[in-house]
Amino acid sequence: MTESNTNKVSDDVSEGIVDGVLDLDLAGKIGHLHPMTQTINEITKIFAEIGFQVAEGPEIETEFNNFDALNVPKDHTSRDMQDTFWLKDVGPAGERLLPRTHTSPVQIRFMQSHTPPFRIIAPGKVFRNESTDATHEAEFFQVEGMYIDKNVSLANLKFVLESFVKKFFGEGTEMRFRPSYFPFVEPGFEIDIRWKDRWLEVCGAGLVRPEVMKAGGINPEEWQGFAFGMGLDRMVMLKYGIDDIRNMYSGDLRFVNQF
Amino acid sequence: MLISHNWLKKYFTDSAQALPDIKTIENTFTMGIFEVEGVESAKAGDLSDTIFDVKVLPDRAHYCYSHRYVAQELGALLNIRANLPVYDSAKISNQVNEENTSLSVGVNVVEEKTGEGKDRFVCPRYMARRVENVEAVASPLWLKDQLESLGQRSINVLVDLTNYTMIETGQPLHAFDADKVDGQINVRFAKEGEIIILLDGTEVKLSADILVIADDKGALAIAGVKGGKKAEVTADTKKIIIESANFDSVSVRKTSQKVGIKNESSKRYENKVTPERTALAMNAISESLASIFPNAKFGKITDVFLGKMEAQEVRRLDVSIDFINSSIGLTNKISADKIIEILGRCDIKAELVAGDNDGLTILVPEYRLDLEIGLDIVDEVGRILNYMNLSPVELPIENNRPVLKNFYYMNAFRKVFQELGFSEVYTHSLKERGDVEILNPLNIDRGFMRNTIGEGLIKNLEHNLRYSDLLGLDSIKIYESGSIFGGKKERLSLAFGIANTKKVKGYNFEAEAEKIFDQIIKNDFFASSVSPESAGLSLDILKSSVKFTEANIGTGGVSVLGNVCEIELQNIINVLPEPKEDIVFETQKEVKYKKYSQYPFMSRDISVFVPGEADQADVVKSIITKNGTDLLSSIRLFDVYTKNKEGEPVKTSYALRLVFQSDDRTLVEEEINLIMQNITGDMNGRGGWEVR
Repeated sequence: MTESNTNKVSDDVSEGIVDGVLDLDLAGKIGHLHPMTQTINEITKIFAEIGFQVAEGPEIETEFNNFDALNVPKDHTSRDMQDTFWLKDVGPAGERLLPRTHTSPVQIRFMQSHTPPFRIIAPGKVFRNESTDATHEAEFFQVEGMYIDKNVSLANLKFVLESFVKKFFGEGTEMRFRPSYFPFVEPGFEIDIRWKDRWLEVCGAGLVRPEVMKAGGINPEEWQGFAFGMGLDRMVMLKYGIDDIRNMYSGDLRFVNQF
Repeated sequence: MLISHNWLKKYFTDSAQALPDIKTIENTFTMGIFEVEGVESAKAGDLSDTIFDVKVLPDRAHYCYSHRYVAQELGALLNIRANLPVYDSAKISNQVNEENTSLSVGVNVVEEKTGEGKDRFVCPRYMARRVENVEAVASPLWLKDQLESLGQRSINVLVDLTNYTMIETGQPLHAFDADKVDGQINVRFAKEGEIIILLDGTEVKLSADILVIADDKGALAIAGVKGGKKAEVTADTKKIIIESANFDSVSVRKTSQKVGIKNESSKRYENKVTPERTALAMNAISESLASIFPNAKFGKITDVFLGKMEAQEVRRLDVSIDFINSSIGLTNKISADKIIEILGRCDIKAELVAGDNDGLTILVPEYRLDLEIGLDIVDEVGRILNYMNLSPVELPIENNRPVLKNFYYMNAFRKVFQELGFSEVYTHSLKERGDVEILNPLNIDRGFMRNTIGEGLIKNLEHNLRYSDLLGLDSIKIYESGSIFGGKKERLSLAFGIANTKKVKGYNFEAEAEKIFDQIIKNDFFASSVSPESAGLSLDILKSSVKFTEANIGTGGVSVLGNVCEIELQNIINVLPEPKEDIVFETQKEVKYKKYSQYPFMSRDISVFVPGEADQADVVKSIITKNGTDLLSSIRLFDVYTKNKEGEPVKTSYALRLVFQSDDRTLVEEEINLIMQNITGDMNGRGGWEVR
């Protein structure tokens, strides 16, 4: 994804450069925030501008919140769409526990504990049983979004996602909104952005299914909503030209201190 | 799934409009129903074709693993009517209409139900038909070429037609050599340990939960998955029994996993096929056989339809037109007539409810299992109208936005640590030990959820110490916040660690940490300028929620102390007040990220006396960078002092550390020595300059 760069920085980029050589006099004076934190903060800011509040949920989830409540069928191939780690221990009521495979369970928790209308974004760590390589990690980050109100439409969803893409990736970013499928929404969409001659998936979205609303204790006859989810690592990597996802979790300051 | 362009075209030869070009078809699929993962030219014999590789997702897999319904979808999206063949079973001449003739097939099907509620027949429908006067000859060219363009090997016309009809209709078919079938067809569960030899010669030991197609002597096929060698259609086959059946999707999936066979047949069954498709496919293949073998004799179709009751229910869905419109959100509302017309293109009949100008009754086509709720209809209408045409509509203004306490304070703590020179790291939650164990870990190194952040941070300090010169740091200062799971309780933690590159006399980490705590509790990062201290967070409370660890960490034989302090962050946050205002995030600075070199670096120090006061640092640096070549990666002025001895001219000493590194090779001592010589020479050549 990135062209190979030398260690030399171009003169015009930042202070601390002397004839193309890094000047480290000020190294360590101010610390560096991890690019994932910076990205989450930026996304929080973008969504705050249209009234979205931050929500959170635990990393260890119940099978119900992670799958059943989200309408993922028990014995169907769609539950295979996600490779899951399971805990050895079970919960107090004998329920199966797992490190969550997506941030979508936060929707269920928030719905159960709040009355609409509301709009939330929930960034957080998720876990998938996948071998690691330059573009895959077993633990990574997603951000979930949800808006529940009376009369929520796909046109609203399009507005939210288009404005996000423009603010995050740039005003002229080409994007497309195409049909896809997720068990918890209907219709379901995949949002792609145009990036260097390719279409890249950045977000899944759709209108919240009535079963999911009911699992959250909300009456779908009275309320409607949309939900969306994005993989953050890819977005961070695209934005900065990072080519290996494992750098993000290495704790290596040669990586972090560049940000 | 692979879709042949030539095959699709066959459905549109009678249409008023021809299909558009390949690119438009690709775009229509992508924007209207399926992502197209690839478009390839294919050649099979003389024929050239274009093959679309479409991604059929679970919601449409029960009908779209077929050219027939994909053509229908394409037609609906393009508003060009696809002509789907109607197979009229009565059209077959040479068919016997009586039962109990020599052309009959006796079928017995187990009436077992499956599923948690034992509510689904394991074999809801089984159709069998005997056909005689056929030959397992080579397929006609059109059939051979069509199959090969889709990556399917041509075997003989009889087997090929079962594949062809499956790819056409989405219904898997199987052909048995009728002369090799002893007695009746028995659809039953295998006996525990029963053996079947499959078409490819492999021997499979079956268990009692696997459904088989059997004759009087034993298993002939693993239902829905694979045929056996015994009744294989071979070159001398003259009579066949065609099976067109419906099997429970979950059963087939479990069987497929158990025997380790996944193929075009099991894939379709796993994704469900409705029972009417068995009749469609049986009639389709009968027609094909009749046209290739004009003297073929067809027996009466045996149809054991256990699931008839459920299948015959006409599924109706009531949807409000207003609901469709408000869900999509078009500025110009879609009329009832338009909705009815659009749905009609998808073979979905819709009628206005009498006396209700908002209500539509939808008749769900038998083969559609994904149309169950109003939102499913919204999808059918919306995607045909094309979502790219949908104008975005703003959300109502929302000013009430509660601030999440944990999020607020975590960011506040980050600010404090950043100001103290700490860099934020993210490390793994899955580790090699812990109180919370993973049942199915990726590998032994990551089989547990981490008990603490600190245990990983110590290793991190060690790792980063190696690069302290490259980083220009005298001490590594890092922190991380996130969830920990020690004691099987998930909670928020923040751990920070320090490792000095050299032993510092009198250094006491706990004293250092106390200074940090002091800054935390006095910090005014609260928007309302209420410091944590005055809000109830005292030094004592803070100290009671922390734990110190230290370890000797070494690089290259030098051992230093790595120190980590872990804070039970949730305890701290619980004591703090609800934030009154939102966090203000700094604008992110422009960063040009560079992949760092994996090759070892070399550092060199240089000290030089320069006449005058301490205002020549830039000059010193530029002499270095001028002579540094592109191997010089960074410079750091780490010491400056001015000597003001009486009787002597004022002079200033500058001490700098230089780091050299290449992106593509390991450096050689000599080349760096040469560079240092050049720098030294340049400096010493200036009046009054003295390199030490």
